[in-house]
Amino acid sequence: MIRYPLVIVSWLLLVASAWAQGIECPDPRLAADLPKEIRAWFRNPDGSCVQCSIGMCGVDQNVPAAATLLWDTEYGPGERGGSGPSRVAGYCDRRGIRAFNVTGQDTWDWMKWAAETGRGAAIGAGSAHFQTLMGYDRQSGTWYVCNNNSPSRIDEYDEAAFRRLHLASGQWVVILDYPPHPARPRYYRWW
Amino acid sequence: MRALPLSLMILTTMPPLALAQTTPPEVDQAEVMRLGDLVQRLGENVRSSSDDAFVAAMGPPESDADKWFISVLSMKACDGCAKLKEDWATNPWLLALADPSDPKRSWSHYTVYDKDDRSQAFRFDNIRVTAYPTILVQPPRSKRYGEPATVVYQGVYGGDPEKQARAITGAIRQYVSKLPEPPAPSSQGGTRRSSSDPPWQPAPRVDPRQPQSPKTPFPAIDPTIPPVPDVPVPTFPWSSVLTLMAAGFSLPAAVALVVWAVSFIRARRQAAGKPPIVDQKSLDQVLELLKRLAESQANPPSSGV
Repeated sequence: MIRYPLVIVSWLLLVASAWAQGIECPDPRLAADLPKEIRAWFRNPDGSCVQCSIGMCGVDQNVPAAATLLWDTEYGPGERGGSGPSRVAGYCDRRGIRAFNVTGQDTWDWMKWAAETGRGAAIGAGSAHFQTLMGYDRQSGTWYVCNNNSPSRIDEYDEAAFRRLHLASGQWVVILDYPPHPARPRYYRWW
Repeated sequence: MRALPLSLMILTTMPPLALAQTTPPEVDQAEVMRLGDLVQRLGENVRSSSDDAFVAAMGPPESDADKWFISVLSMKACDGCAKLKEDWATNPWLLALADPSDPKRSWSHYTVYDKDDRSQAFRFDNIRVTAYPTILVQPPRSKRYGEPATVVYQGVYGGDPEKQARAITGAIRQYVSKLPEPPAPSSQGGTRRSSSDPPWQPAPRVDPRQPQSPKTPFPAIDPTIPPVPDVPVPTFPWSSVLTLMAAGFSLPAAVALVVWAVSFIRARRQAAGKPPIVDQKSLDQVLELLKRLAESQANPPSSGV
């Protein structure tokens, strides 16, 4: 009888250690740089996964009009609920947000472009769901994705798993057309 | 009795069905499929009436990972910050480094951060910013010019665009010359409105100007990187003092003391960022005159007898 609690505790410890070893910002493998405290602001409240994902990219690229999509601010009224490309086009135009609204077979190239130039991307990921692409490591073929239903962690996918994930929602990505963020500046005595 | 399980089955399956009919999907997958291969460029006010215009632009843009980063750290109600933004939008010296209105043609990635924007504060935890507007310059993300986090230049805008641009380019030139290896070539439909506040105060859409301008909009403290070499403070002429004490009044020793006092005051004023009392040319002339006077006293001309 004593064995069962021990097994459960060991299993919990294993899960906790695996969780703790997950990738976290800032990391050179990640394009987006968003601490988990800020990602938590974008936990999906009510089926607004597209706006949550774009909002994270808005913070990452310092675009307040995109970062505040979920809420009523001077940039515009809060946008809640489900979205398609035409709705995204509508509120981006109203708020003056420059973005690439990409559908179809070229989304793979766009996602790689975003990650390799230091930008995040709001992407279709999972059945009728949107998540935030945080990075892509071409060498290991690993994709890093933050789900707005569990924003405290960054999930890792290999090429095949990521392909399934993206196709499950339909090929659609939204990438903000703004400069990427700089690396967190540090002083190195180079002079 | 046979109808009871059937009724239960119908009752348990009905609510999800009803919910599925009333709740719209989070992602409109049908629209994604209808659109097919399409790239829309939003928010540029140059929308094409035909999708054919976008055919050439189906692929992603060129990589801009080789661009340098110029970040301006500003604050609200700061005239110096507003002046810098205005200058950066119009002055050719600054536009040559970054074009805020045309990010694609801009030489660098230019971003303005508000010091009170909580969503961005974490980026600057590792550096010391004492005055605004502060300008930071960092190498590209591609690592072509070393570690992208390196602060290549940090300075506070003093109101002179040309001087500012020269300071930035000078720092970049100096930084690149010190790299261990030369860089390689290189519609509201279906909208549900909410009335909630964001969890942080976003940067304002329009920067409010300070109603009462301070005497000068530019701060005196300038934590410049790379640091400007300190102005050397002349050493105290102890030998002259000893001479005066031991041998009584001597013009060369007195001149040496005067020269030291003038140089000392000048160095202190320069270190404090104050303008010198007399310009360098005039000072050099006076010092030369004193030097000649002291030399003539020390070596009196021979009588020729």
